[in-house]
Amino acid sequence: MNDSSIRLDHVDKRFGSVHAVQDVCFDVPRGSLLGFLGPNGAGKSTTIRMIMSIIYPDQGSISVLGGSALAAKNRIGYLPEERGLYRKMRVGEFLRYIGRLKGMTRSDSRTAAMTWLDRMELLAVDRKRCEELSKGMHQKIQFIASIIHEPDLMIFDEPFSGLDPVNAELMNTIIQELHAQGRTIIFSTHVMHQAEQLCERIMLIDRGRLILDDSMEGIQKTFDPRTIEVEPLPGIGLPTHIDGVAERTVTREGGLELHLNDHVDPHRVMQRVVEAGPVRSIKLRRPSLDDVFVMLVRDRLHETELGTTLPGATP
Amino acid sequence: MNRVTPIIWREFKYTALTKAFIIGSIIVPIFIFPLLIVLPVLFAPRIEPLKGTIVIIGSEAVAQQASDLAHEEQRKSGTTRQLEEAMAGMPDSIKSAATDPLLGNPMASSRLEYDLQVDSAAAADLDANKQRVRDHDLIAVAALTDELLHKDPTREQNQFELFVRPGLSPRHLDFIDDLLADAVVEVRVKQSGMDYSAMRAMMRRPGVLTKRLQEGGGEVREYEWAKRLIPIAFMILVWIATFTSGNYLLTTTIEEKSNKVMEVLLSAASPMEIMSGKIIGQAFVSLITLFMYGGLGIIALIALSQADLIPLEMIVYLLLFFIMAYFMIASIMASVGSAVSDLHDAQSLIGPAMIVLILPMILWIPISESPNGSLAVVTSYIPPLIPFVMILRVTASGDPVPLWQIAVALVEGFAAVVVMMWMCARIFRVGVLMQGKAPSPLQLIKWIRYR
Repeated sequence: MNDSSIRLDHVDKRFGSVHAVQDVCFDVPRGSLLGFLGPNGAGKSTTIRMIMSIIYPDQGSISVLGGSALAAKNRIGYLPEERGLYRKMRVGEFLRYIGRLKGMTRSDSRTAAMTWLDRMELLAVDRKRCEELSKGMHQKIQFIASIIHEPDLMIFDEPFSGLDPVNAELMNTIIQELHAQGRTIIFSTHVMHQAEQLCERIMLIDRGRLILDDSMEGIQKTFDPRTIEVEPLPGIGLPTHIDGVAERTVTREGGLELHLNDHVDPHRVMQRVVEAGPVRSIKLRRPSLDDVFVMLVRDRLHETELGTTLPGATP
Repeated sequence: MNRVTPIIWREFKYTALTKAFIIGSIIVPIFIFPLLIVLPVLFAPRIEPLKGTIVIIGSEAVAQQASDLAHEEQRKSGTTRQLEEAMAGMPDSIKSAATDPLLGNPMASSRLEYDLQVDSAAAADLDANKQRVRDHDLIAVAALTDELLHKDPTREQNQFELFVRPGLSPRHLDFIDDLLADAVVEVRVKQSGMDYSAMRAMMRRPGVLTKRLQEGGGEVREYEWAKRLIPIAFMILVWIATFTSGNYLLTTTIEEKSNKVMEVLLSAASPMEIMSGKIIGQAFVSLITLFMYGGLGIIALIALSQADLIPLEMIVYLLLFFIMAYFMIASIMASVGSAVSDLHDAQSLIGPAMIVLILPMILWIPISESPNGSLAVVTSYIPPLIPFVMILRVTASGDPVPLWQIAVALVEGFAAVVVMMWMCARIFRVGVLMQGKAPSPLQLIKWIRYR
């Protein structure tokens, strides 16, 4: 039994002189909820399109749901970043059309369309033309279109864009339900806190190379925390200079954030702070995904110049 | 095929079962068809009556004769006479439509109403009369010479000057020219002592009532104009049916690309499946157009008892060359539609192909007049032109096209269809994913070679 939903083995893709994807290898176990991140133009869409068998790699192999990507099309749901609906088509008809394309019978696609429209609180728009819908409704219809056929593997590109907080929460709940049903979900986003909140595992791609592939826990362990949060006692301040602290900022609540110099042991700095005077609390702040993203993408620029490799990256 | 079927149906439904298509392609032509029958008559404009005085300098006899002719009842201008001569060759149904009171009696309305007075004046009064013309007091003044009324005037003598006021309509001028020229001829004949009416009756050319003997034993009236029009009618039929759907194919592909539906479709079906579905879907739309317009044409021929002008083999050729033409045009339109993001970019890529494809339209007369001439034979072997030129050749009424040439054209044409569809598929799978600047023709060739 193959436990991989997706396996990429030394996948390489060029478009003329642009090396869009370079020797990428990864394995997505079945039932994962994975964040696929990267800056603009990093190669995410190209990789996703290859997984979807919309385009094919120049080198390497891709296995999707244990076989050929093309054969698995009906078991994959895809929500592209750029939303596309037929303007003149009625909502219900569009969903049934996509269901039929995904191999559903006419009656199954009709039932599923109605069920999902009801679930997404869109039953009233069933007979409306797509051009009459708001941007948020477009987004929800497109989301339904990507899951109407109950795929085993779902790939969502920026699923929350254009949604108000209520609808974003609704979609969040549905994604978690689908995950709980054992479906594999990959989603790509620029909003890091969403990925942090939802994903078990993160992959980061930059300039065609996979530079991070780890669990959220692993990422937080791997990446050296560079900030100490201190809550001083009332009336007792900290010394103006503490060895290893590059900069300090005052939070809105009156606490302090000590930003450390590079290559400084944060535990030594914490010890110095405590020795300098009593404090109410002191803790190391875990790096957010935002911090990791910025750090990695920024450092990758540096690494390219120096020829070094970051932890978790493909060699 | 599971994925292709819904694409075919959607493409067909959202093209052929739309108000725009039903109104534009079905209802409007049905209403226009009866109008086309009386179109030549409708083109004869209703114009203002011609009222006023014409002065003739140099011949009282001509002035008198012109006055008499003007007072003859139902005198017709040259234009009206030409129209009536043209109508004489038309079937009875068209003739009756041309004089049908329900249609406003178009023939009668094409006649010019007039109320003319013709006076004569001395040569010395020419300048004064010219001034009267300028002052809009007269319609025209004609200056005749004595030589004009000779029995056998030379070419230089056989003309006269006519001075008309500014803004005189061509129909009015045509009427006056005719009236004065007839008056001059009649005066010449009378001066020679001959009977003009008898002479005119004898000079009237006889009409020819051509009848075609049918193979089954009957005979029907032969309309030369119908035989001449059949090749171009067949070619236009193929042209309209293929280009209408080709155009829909182009615009729907561009729309799917520009509104990003293509990415959704590609997640469900391969580019080849999408392209096939779209092309087959539009093929049905094209067939509807072909059957509708072709059917109307056949009904018209049956109504004129001319159905035997189109033997069964002609219909078979029509279908074969229509299929060939459709897939050639569809492959061009689908390639271009997939490669560009808006119609403006599409025009620049389609332009060169259109220049080639419009050639048969320009060359229809020489090809249909001489279906086995060098021009016809050579152009019928150039792939994109094959179906259009061949349909002109096989429906022309001249020498029959040798069967081997038809066979070669069919084999070559369908081989070209296979190659064009293959190239289209290669371009389509790359083009649908491309956004932004339209590719150059050179880039399209590169796409064909992409892995």
